[in-house]
Amino acid sequence: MLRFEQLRHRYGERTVLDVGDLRIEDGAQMLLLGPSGSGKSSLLHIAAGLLRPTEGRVWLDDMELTGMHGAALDRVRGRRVGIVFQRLHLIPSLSVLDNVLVAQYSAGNKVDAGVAMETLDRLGMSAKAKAKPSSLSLGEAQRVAIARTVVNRPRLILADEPTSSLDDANAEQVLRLLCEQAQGATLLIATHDARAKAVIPQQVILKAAAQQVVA
Amino acid sequence: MNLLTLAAADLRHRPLPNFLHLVLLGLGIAMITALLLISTQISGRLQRDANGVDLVLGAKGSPLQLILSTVYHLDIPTGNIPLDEANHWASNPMIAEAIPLSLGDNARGFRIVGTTPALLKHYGARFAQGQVWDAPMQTVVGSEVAQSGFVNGATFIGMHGLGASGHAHADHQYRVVGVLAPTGTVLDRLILTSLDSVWEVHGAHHHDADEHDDDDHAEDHAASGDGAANYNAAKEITAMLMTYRTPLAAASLPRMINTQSKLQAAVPAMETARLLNLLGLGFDTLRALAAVLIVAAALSVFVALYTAMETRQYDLAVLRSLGVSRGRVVALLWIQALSLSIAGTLIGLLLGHGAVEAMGRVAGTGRNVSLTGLTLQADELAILLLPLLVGTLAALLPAWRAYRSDVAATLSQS
Repeated sequence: MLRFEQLRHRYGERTVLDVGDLRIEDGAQMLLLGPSGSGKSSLLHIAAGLLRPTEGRVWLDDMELTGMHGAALDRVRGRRVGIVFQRLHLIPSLSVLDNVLVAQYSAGNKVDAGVAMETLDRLGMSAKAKAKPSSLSLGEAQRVAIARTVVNRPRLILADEPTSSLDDANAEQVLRLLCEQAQGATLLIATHDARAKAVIPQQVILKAAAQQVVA
Repeated sequence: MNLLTLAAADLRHRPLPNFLHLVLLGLGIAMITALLLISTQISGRLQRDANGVDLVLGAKGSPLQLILSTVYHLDIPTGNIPLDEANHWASNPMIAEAIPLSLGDNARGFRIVGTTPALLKHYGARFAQGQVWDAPMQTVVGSEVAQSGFVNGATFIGMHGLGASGHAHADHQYRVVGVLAPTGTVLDRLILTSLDSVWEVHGAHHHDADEHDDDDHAEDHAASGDGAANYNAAKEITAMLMTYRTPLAAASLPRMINTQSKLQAAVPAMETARLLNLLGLGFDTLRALAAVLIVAAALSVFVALYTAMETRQYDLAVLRSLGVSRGRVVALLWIQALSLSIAGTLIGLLLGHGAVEAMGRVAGTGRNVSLTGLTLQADELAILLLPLLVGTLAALLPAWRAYRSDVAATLSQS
């Protein structure tokens, strides 16, 4: 369960996010919708413990993320949270397999090539395990990024505009893969891509002007 | 998968710039290593050769030339001195040991030195084969000389002068009766014989002057430094190596000899220090140049890491988002800088040793101070600390920047 209490975030005098209280249940798969500047990315970063909110508290299960610091917070993020970025930024010097293994290592988990290969296989990428990211198509790279996100079986998966640079067919495929791979975990996808609504009906809408949440 | 494999993968990903950093650092380290090896070996050899020789008695002239020619056997002598007068000073109560030397000839570039067995004892020489001479024209050769074909029982003739192009004493044949074990001193590259041998060759040579009384012959003598006096019937030597009985002799005896006789007294310790001082100026200049190269290499590694930060900041932010702590990101950058520095240092050490070994081989052995790269100096331990310093300094600012980086802001900008 992901829970926000009286959450607000400001950059200087400007309020960019006013969520108030929001609770997302275990296993929920939801879209985080809203126009540019509505604070979608900020909310994801706060949920991942990458950004400390100006006000309010954030809970992941029984842990208060806003009360944690440093290495402890890094550890929770590595083991319990998975993030898919808009720009994939696979590490170019590493192979596809190593890009997945690095997630295991970063989380402090056992580095297990078998598990990593199995994850790549589920996403149809095991044949390219030794390839470098520069040789992959955008759709293939997106699958590797998803494999990197889910290999540690996180409790919470956050995706920031994962379909923004994909065509319709690839966008739908990526969304369906995310939903499949996130089974059992909470999935929150920040997007302004209307195509996502057809795949994931549950939504949280952030309004830019009033910063009012409509769930 | 660990920090080392992550660092190695990133270094392999940018081979050309990293190779250039290695070359730059390697050259600086190689230069310092070579200078260290050369200066240590030269000063060590000079000290070993002059060990126990407190004073050299010889003909007037440059004291440095006298020491170079009679202790190190590198230069031509200043001239000859009467044996009687040398013996007069040798009998001074302040002198414990006096070893006469008579130079002037060579065989295939190796100097033939007329002396007494006391010289062998002075350097603690041991025989690998044979024994000391017991008659004129018998010789004992040093280990490097023996390696050039002067084996026990071999015969050869001397050439006049100290270079290889002098007049041959074809009618006087030397024979090797002893080969010395390596001593690590000047003895290794000398051919030793009795004083009588030298007097016999040059005395007869003089008396047979009708056979070759031309100007070239006189020039040979002049070039060898034995001077026209060598033609006199009176016995002469080139120099006398002396050891004091008491340290008090150092205060009075050299001045006494230099003021009260026609001879010159030169002190090896002083002349060696002067020589090393002269060499030191050159070494210092090269050391400064090597230091500049190393600083440039450190800057190069720093610039590489710093500019890589620009392109890698998102990668590092992704690693942070995957759970890598700030400390481990800093460690990653430090390992990368250290890997480059250690690799550059090892390459530099290999290059430095290789260059000195090549110099030693190209210069050849036997004629001068031999150099080898196949040795390790204790001072090289300090060089091994350099990569730690260079790598840490180069990684400092990029690591600090990575440590302070705002992951959320970086991910939002991308």
